[in-house]
Amino acid sequence: MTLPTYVQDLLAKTRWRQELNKRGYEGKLPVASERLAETLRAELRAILDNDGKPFDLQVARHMYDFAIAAKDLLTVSVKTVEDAMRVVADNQGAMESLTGSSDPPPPEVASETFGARIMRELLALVPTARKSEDPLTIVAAIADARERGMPDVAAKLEQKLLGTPLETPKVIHTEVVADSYEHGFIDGSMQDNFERGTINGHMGVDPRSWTPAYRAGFEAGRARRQASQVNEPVLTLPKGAEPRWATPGLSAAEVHDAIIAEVGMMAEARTPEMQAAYDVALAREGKVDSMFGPIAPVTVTGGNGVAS
Amino acid sequence: MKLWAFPAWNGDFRLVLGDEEGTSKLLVMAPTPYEMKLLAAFMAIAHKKKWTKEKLVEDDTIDTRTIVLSAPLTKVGPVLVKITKPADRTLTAVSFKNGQLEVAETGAIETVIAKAENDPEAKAVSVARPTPCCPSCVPGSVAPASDVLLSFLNEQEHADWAKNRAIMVTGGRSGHRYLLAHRHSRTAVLNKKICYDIDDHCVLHFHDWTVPPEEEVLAAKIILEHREAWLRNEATVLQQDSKGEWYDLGIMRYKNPFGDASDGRADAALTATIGEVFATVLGRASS
Repeated sequence: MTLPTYVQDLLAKTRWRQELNKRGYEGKLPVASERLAETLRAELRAILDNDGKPFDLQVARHMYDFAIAAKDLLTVSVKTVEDAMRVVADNQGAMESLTGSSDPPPPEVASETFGARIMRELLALVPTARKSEDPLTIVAAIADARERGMPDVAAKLEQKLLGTPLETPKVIHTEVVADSYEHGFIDGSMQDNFERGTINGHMGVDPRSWTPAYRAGFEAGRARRQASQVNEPVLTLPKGAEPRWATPGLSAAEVHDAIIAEVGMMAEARTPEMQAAYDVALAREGKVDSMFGPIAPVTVTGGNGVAS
Repeated sequence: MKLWAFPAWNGDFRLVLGDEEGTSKLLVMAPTPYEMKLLAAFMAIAHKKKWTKEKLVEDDTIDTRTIVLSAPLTKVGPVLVKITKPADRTLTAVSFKNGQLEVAETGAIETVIAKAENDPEAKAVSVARPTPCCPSCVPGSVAPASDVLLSFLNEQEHADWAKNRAIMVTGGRSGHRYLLAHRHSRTAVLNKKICYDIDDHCVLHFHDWTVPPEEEVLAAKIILEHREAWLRNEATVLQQDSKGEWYDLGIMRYKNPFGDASDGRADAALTATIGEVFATVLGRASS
């Protein structure tokens, strides 16, 4: 005995949905509207039908384009650089490519890549093969580069003179570090630091030496990064709410971060309560504040609460 | 105007304001032998115009040289750009204090420079069109961004570059969005090229390894935004298979203003020959 057709259809649909759910990500995506889905189906049928003509390369190409467009409509929405990088990474390269990233390159491309690399490497040796330079000339050029707000040039000259930049910019790959000018000066300018004569234009580690302009830039950059990392906007504390740094049970690092979020990196801007909460958290972990040393014992009102 | 940069092999030549009014300085970093010749040509003109009495000699410690010129930056710059960059395929971009960006080809450079003359914060860069085709991007160190690149990025691009060493730009003619990645970054290595069309899911084949990665990205950005056909044409949208054959996949492109689909192949062949020779001499596979 066979089941009625409509029951078979229902079972087939259920199995299809289960298969989709097993594969994972489709099931989590919002479902396309019926109208859009039906339009796409109709378009696909029309492409395959090809006005009654046979299936050929043109039809295959048309289907391929259609599939990509449909994927764009339904699932892929590239809005940011990160999205685009993820698409490339997921696909291991460009979709519209005749080779994959792991395919060996054609022989002439391999030769060309090698040729281009070897030329850059050989030409990099040319300066050292020339007559040795007057160190005074280089020192003058370093001073001039710093004065003119060209830290990358100064760093290269220092590399030439000393073998290493005096104050190595610490941006490695995509890591942004605390004293990088990329934190704050969105126009790339380090003029403020140069005017103050700091080494190589970079700020010192000690936040007390920071200028107000650098500090403002640093905090804005930090807030931007944090917001992008947690994928949610930076929240300001509601009026009258308990400050984060006074939350019981926080580690010293968490208290420190909460204080910085509130007053910035200027250590002297901390209130005595903030410092006390931080020191208590440190003491609980058996540490002392390396910048200001141990402080007098305080009485704690629970967790990292304010000292009395 | 406070700065005019000319991307070069080891960074860029930079014209900056001189110590006295009406003067300028040319900062030169480790020029290659070819760039030394360009500089010599420039110095010949500078002597003729009595801008400087300094001279270049063969063994000069020129790679850390600052040349003082008794002419303003806006007068020296147009002369230098005509000597150091190919006139018909160079775009000069000027970033003004108010954030406005203007570009001009070398033939019309005077107009935009005249506007920048009274803006003390204006910065300029002259970029040459990258070559179509084809060395693959390879992993390597990703150095801090250069000041010149950062000067021409908006806030979002600056943040993207700081975080990802990649930026998203929009083609001035097609409206397509492009991902431009540092040539040593993972994204570029996966794509094998620095420029990925986000809307058509393909790469554009061009490169400029005669300048550092940051300057390569800067040139691509400025040209895609203002002269898109220079870099999106029949020579740059062709796709190559693993045997080295080229195919036209019908991806949208413009007419190549500098030739046809074979544009750049001569350069590629020369570089490949050099690579083969060195691979043979060094006794190793070039890949």
